[in-house]
Amino acid sequence: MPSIKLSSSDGEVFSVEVEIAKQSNTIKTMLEDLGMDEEDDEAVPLPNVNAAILKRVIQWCTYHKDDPPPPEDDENKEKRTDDISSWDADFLKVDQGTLFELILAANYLDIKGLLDVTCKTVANMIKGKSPEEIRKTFNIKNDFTQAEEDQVRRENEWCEEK
Amino acid sequence: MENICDLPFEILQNIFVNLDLKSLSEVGKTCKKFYTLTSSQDKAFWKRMIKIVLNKYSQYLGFWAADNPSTGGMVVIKFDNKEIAINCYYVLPKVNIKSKPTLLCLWRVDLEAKRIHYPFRKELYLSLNPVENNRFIIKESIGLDDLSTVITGREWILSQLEGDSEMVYDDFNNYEYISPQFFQFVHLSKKRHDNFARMLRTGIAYDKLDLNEKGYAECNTEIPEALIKPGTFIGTYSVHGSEIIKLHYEKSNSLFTAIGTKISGDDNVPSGQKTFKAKLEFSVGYLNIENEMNLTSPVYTKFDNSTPRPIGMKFNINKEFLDKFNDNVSTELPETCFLRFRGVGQVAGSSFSNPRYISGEWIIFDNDNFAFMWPELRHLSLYKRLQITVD
Repeated sequence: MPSIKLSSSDGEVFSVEVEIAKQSNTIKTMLEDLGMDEEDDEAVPLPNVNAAILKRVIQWCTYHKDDPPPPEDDENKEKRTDDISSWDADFLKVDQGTLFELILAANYLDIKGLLDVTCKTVANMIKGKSPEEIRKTFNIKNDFTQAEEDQVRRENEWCEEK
Repeated sequence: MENICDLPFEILQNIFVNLDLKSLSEVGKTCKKFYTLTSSQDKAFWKRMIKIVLNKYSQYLGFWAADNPSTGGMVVIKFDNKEIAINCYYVLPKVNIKSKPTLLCLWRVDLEAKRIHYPFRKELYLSLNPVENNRFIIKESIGLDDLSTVITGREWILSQLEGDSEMVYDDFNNYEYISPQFFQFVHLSKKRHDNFARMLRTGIAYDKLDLNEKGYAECNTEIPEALIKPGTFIGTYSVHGSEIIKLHYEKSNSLFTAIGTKISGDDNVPSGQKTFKAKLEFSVGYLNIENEMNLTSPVYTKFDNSTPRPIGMKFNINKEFLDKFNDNVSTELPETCFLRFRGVGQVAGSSFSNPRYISGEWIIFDNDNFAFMWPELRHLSLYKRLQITVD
């Protein structure tokens, strides 16, 4: 199996099978456009991803390497969030900081499947909660003044047809 | 990256498109950043969100007629104010030819939250059952014992009519406005209350009206240029106040017939019945004012596909036709009209007993206004196009 080297922001180098790494469109494009060769000994620098996160991303890509390519999104279809596999759910049982880092990494590396499943996980943490519960879950500071808060509440009340 | 608020906008939007409208509204109330992000100020995000929502509810959007004995009624399902809502409109009992019809939104159903909001009583949960294509049922979860909480709409409506109280029909005070789903005022009697409570729990079915997003009726045959476009109109019905009708055309052997069908109805002629029809073979005119006042010695002119829209003819009306229910309309009557046709209007006794057609006249004023004259009743019904757009 041909493999390439990936270098994290903090300098750790990981050796990954090319087929696994290519789930990242960013890496795939680099390999194709820059003509980086499998025989090349040079590591692909990933300045936006640290070793701890890169390790998890590789773990996710390894598990999902045989997945069919994700279907083209029907932009107009309502998104389902109850279709997360149990492996993914376990994989994403991490602290919020790690989860957000994974989202950023998936976005930067352009790994659609990972970005989808991480965003859905966060969406599920929001769904069905009151504003106060959402603040508590994510430690969000309420930065509305009393007047603004009243205004926001009013906007959501009964509105008469003009 | 410790806090969700530190995520870039683009990523937060990727998260938020997974939410339903209710959760989206709640998350917008947590802090300023999320408020901005979920508010309609962010055009691109909302475009994406609206497409998802519209796609989900596409079969509901539009105009629906209540399958409700005698009174009928109409609701509109549209997207606004960040929710897909069913809006039930009540047309105030006066049609002013020169201004937009006054519509009061009596209730709205937030489809995502399955909740019904009233301006005058506490919101209720309800069930919305799509039965089949082009038909759904709304049931209110209310028991017979809760009925006292249902009956409260009258005061609110009266307050909305303030300053215009003379336009409320005489016996209004003997009526109570019962569940807004029923679009009507009913007599305050125990028996009817029980009846209504039972109906509330059974639910009201709504049938899709064949109207486009602008409220015009689709027409499968090309109608003559000179005619008014089909669609929904509100009209004055004397003691019954304002009612909603649908104007449409039928064609047989190249001859058109204009038909007004009631969407909302009354005790005499209920919803679903024709209120008038006019065969459009000959238009009618009068040689002088006296003839016009008495509708005598009409001059007939052949009418067909090629008839151009005439330049406004002078329009005069016998003052007797402007009865006490719409005499304040007299100053608002148009001075000219495009076309007049002889037709028939349907009348009936209480509970649609002995229905029959009496002769009358259908008068087109302009693109959005017409009238039907009932000489036998000494009455003129004025109709104005109902302009509610869905998109």
